[in-house]
Amino acid sequence: MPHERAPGLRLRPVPELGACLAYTPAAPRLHQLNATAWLILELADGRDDAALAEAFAARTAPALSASAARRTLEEGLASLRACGLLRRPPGGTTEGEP
Amino acid sequence: MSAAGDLVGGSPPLHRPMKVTIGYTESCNLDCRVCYADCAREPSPRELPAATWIRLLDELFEAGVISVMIEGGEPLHRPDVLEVIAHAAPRAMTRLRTNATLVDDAMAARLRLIGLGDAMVDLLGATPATHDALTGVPGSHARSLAGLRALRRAGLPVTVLVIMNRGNHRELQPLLELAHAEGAEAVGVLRPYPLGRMRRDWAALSLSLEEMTAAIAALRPPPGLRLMQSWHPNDANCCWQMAAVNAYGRSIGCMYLREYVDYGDVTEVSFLETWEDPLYRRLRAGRVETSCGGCAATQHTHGGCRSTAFAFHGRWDAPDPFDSGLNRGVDLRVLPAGERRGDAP
Repeated sequence: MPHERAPGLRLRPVPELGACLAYTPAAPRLHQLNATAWLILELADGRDDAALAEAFAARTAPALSASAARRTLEEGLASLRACGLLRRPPGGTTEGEP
Repeated sequence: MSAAGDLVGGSPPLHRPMKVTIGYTESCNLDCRVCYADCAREPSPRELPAATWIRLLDELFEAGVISVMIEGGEPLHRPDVLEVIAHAAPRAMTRLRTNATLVDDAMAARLRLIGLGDAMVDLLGATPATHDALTGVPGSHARSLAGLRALRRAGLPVTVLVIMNRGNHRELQPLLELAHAEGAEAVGVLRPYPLGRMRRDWAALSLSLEEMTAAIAALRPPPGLRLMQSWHPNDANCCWQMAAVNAYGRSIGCMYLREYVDYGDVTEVSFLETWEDPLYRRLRAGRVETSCGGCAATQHTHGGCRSTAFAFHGRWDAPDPFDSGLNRGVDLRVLPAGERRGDAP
């Protein structure tokens, strides 16, 4: 099941600071993303878990080992979901769910 | 005035604006002694109409703006501000600074419905006696509190703002407790700026730096309430990230620079053209005569607020006398004589 950005999500890259601002109009809030969270958000949209893991590992190697990349991605995804920036499409199921 | 080579510091670079403040109107239903806009009861016919603001916002969004603060005067004193909020909210975090006296449950629900992100409610005291004496309108404290409660009932986050002055500096702790009890997330204790009516009443309302820092140091925010304040070691030089347009369409960088700068009329030139004004670029660069190490460490900028630095020294690169690390004997209760615009280009 692919990941999906929050509806209406607007990104404002601030490359001067190595960061990105993200605005979620459905639940109005402005988030400041570091470079890692920004990368995960960019890669996640439309990718399922396996494709995302592969894309993230490719972009972060060799700076991150495979296990470090996996761990960083899991933490980043959890944070982005908790902030409401990423979600599963309505009606979708997450891995392991019936 | 320093030679450019003597300057220190520097702010983060920002090539395009990311947030903007709109001074929507210079009218208000209150008569605050601390009013920086020197508000009239009726809006001037020269103020920009909503349709112009909407066109301007589209230009700003295209330029990279993702956060919009709408203030006044009292923005809700002009009902067409709701059109502007509704237009802005899908594309930018939209915040409203208000005295809340014109907010009832219906208005709060409408603000929530059209996408307002949060509200910043000005209170000038914890008690009706203090607040109403400073607003000049009996009953305004009760009406502001009623508005704040309506905003909270509608589910909008609220921050309470208070401009510290001689009339309320002994009442800040009760104000924190009141704000917390009313469900505010944060209280911003703001420094007084010598602008508008506040400047004319400066002798009566201003405080010494020692009085202000003592008042801040004595504050004990209730658990869960965030306290924001801009005295040492939190004195930022914010110019690098600021953009503001006043009610008449003048690009002024920051609302606190409203009497000192004019980067151009955004109804006649593009906003980005004003963004490249030499003084605007200079202030964004953030290089100053002297930096406070404590504030630089927390704010990542140097020299403190440019508005109060200029107000007291007449130089854009001067140290901010509201910072105890940079004050150097300036008595903040005494404004410099006359207008000082010595190094303005």
